[in-house]
Amino acid sequence: MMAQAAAKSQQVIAASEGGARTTASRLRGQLGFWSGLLTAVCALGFLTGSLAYPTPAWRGMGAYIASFDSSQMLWMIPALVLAPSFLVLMVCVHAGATDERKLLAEIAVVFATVYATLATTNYFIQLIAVRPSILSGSAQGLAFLSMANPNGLFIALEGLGYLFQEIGMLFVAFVFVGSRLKWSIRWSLFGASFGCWLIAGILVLALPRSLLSGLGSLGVVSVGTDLWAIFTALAGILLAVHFRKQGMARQGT
Amino acid sequence: MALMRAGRQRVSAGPKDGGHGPTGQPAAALLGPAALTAASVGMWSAVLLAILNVWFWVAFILYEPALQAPWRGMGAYMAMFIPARYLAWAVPAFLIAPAFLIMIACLHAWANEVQRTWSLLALVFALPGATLMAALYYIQMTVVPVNFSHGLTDGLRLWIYAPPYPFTFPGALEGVGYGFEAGAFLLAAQIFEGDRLQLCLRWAFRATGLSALVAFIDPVIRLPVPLVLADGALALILLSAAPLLLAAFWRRTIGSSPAALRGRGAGPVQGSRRSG
Repeated sequence: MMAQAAAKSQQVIAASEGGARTTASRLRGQLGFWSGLLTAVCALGFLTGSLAYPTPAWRGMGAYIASFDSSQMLWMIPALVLAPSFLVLMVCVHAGATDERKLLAEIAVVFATVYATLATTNYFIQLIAVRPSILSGSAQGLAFLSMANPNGLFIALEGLGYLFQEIGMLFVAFVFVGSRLKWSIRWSLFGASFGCWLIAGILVLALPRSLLSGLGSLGVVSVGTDLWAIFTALAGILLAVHFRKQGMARQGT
Repeated sequence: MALMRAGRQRVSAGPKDGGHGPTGQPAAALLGPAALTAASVGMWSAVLLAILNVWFWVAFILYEPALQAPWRGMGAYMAMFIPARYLAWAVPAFLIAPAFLIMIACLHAWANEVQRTWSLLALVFALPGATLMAALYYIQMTVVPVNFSHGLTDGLRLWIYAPPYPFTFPGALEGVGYGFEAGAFLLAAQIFEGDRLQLCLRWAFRATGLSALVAFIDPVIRLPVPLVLADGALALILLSAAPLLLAAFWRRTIGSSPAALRGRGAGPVQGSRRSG
């Protein structure tokens, strides 16, 4: 009698845990799909904005103020939204990772958090504090904060933020193993992490300068940034498909 | 038996006190040792957060006349600067950041498997929020008063709470910081479901999140002044009420756990924690 009651209790606990897992994975699938899609849209928005309204070459604060147009900062809006959506995406990958690969996803979440902090702060300061100062004509002393200044705070914080994001992408790439889709996700994440800089270096060395001149004045940095956006968009789309497939497979069962 | 399985999560044990089991059925919120620690630490951090919020708001309202005074240049601002009145709100504002982070971290440690995605999301949004707010108010506590006390104003123009706030560094950092904290409150709200207190908590957290979001939106799209003022008054109540409700909820949950779990006796669960 006691054994029967214990077995029944075990069954109830197992059913309860099964239900919990289903609810958790449904939520993960939905959040993962939408954050993956938003990540892709933001990366493409960033690419479009930065190509349509490139940052002018730095010739001092006076020249920067004279040629300043708010549309030069348009690309910052998708880049600002990218940070929290990428953060949500990493949490969803972490939630779905197998036990032996959970640590890699957890490291990615931590790096993504640092990236989100640095990137959003940097962009919000430009949009909210620097832009109005330039427009009101009181920005003469803000050269150090100007986004066009290659030796300024903006470039330093941006570089640091994306370094953290790319380290996170490198770790999370190793979570995906198995099907063709998972390998595609892994390689697109490799591409977005450090592969883009390797390819950019090769392209800059191999292609004629006339072909590259349209991509901006910074050479490897411009080409690498464009490739980063393409790989990030690709990874976002593939991750959205991955989470949608997981959701559909669950509905099917 | 079920309690012995509970290394880190709540355990469904019956419909008695209105908790919520992982499958959605009402269940008692009996806590495992780790979740009990999370509830205890979380309760005190929530109480501390509510107290700090009241302290901050009172001091900040008293500072309002200085904040709203017309701008007459840096020299006049420095002459009017009273460090004690400034620090009266900068200190609690700085302390709010770690208290908030501990509260959300405890919420994550307390959450069960279903809620864990929401609680982790809340935690990763709380982290940037707390980092930015702590950094901003630490600068306000140290750099600004110390420079003023030495008669130095170089480079401080955009770091002080003065016009054209919020189009200054404090305005931008507060915007992003409150934006992340708003996200953390809204995501954490999803954790609560079940009885009346938990529903109250869910709506209090949602309202707090929406209210804090105004600080992020206002610098981007200027909102009508009456709306911002009304939101400020609402935030004043909600930022203290929501943590207090959470503290009450955790207090009740701790109270409903057996004495053995609360460390008043050497019950089987303590034994299992030691062994496993």
